[in-house]
Amino acid sequence: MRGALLCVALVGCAYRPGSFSHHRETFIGQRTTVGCIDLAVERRPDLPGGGTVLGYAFGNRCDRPATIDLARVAVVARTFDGQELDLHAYDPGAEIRELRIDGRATGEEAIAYPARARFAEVCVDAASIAHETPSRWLCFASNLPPQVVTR
Amino acid sequence: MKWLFALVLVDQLAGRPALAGGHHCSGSNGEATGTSESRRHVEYVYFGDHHGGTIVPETVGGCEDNTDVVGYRHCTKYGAWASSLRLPPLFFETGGTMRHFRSQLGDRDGTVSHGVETFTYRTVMPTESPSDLAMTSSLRFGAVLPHHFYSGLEAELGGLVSQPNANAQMTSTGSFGAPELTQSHGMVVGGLAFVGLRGDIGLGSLAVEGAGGVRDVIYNFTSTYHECETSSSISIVRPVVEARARADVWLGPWLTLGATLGANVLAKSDWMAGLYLGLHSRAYGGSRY
Repeated sequence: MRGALLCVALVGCAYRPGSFSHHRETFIGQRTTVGCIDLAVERRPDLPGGGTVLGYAFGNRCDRPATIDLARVAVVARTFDGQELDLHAYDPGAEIRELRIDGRATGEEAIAYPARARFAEVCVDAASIAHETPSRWLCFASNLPPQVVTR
Repeated sequence: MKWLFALVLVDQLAGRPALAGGHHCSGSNGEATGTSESRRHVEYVYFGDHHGGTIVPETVGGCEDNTDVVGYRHCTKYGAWASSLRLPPLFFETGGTMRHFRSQLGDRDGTVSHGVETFTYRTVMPTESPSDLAMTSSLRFGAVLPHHFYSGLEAELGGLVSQPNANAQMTSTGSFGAPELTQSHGMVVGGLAFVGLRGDIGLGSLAVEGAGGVRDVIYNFTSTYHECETSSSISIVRPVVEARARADVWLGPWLTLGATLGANVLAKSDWMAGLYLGLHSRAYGGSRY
């Protein structure tokens, strides 16, 4: 909090477009820009019983509020035997919903996508987070560095 | 109120949510699991079936979580980063104002007490048009309304830096004659409500506003009577209705530097000029769409 107050005082706390960092902390994960949103998605180690956890870090490049919709983000996984599954967020409190983030502000969330299977690859449509088109898929292989594929 | 405003900003700017999974709050018997790790040195530890997450113990208001994964954390709700948009756009401004107005001290009656004796006096001003000059500190708190309007309250407190010498003539005497009165520093206190219309001009904004309220000017006198010294004051409360023009420059998305000029429409030679810093709860005051 002290840092944030100092940040306000020094006028240096606004998110700088394209920096993918805030308060000297770099967004972790694969980076992309969709509309006003600079987004980094990180695939964290899978859950022990199956499923995965994705970390989202985002900053609003624009001076106006922008949409962040992690409720309707398209997340698709492929199992090692080739099956394709649509993943749904673990949200027992029904908290995850479409929200707007203020201009030049940042945020981050981590969301679990439980499943019974283990995944060879998990793909996220980054564009769907900001309600942008066309789709922009970020794919994360299992235990391999992430790569971008275009559909 | 200032702290409320600061919290709104800090909540918005802190950027990262607090973390949970197992959690405990101060005063409870709960125990957090996990290790102390910074976000830059993440260690992933899972427990239970789907109960997994990043071990990043963090205390928020006495509550500590050990994961930041939604559904497992407890201290911070989803979407803390959007909290600033749940309130209407608010602003807080603080600055300095110079005020010039005609002195109303002429022909005022006052009293001063020395022990059990009370004396009366009357003020007489110089023949030329006397004016006061005051420097005040002002605080403003307001909200942005639809259609570029804004409204709020302001308070100011300051002192007279220049005032004509009033001659205090005693109109009563006591056992040892009459006290001797000399004019000392004066004070200015004001409270107003304002409403305005603001337009964005890229690097800043221009605004016109009307403000109405009261201004209390307190003129102080030092009274000396038979080796006894005390003070007396005359307080003059006047209504103020000001038309103002304001210009702001954005120093950042949430900070402005501004200047204002205004005049009291109820009195001649009554004007003000000021500089101020403004803090805004929304980027660019919520004016950019």
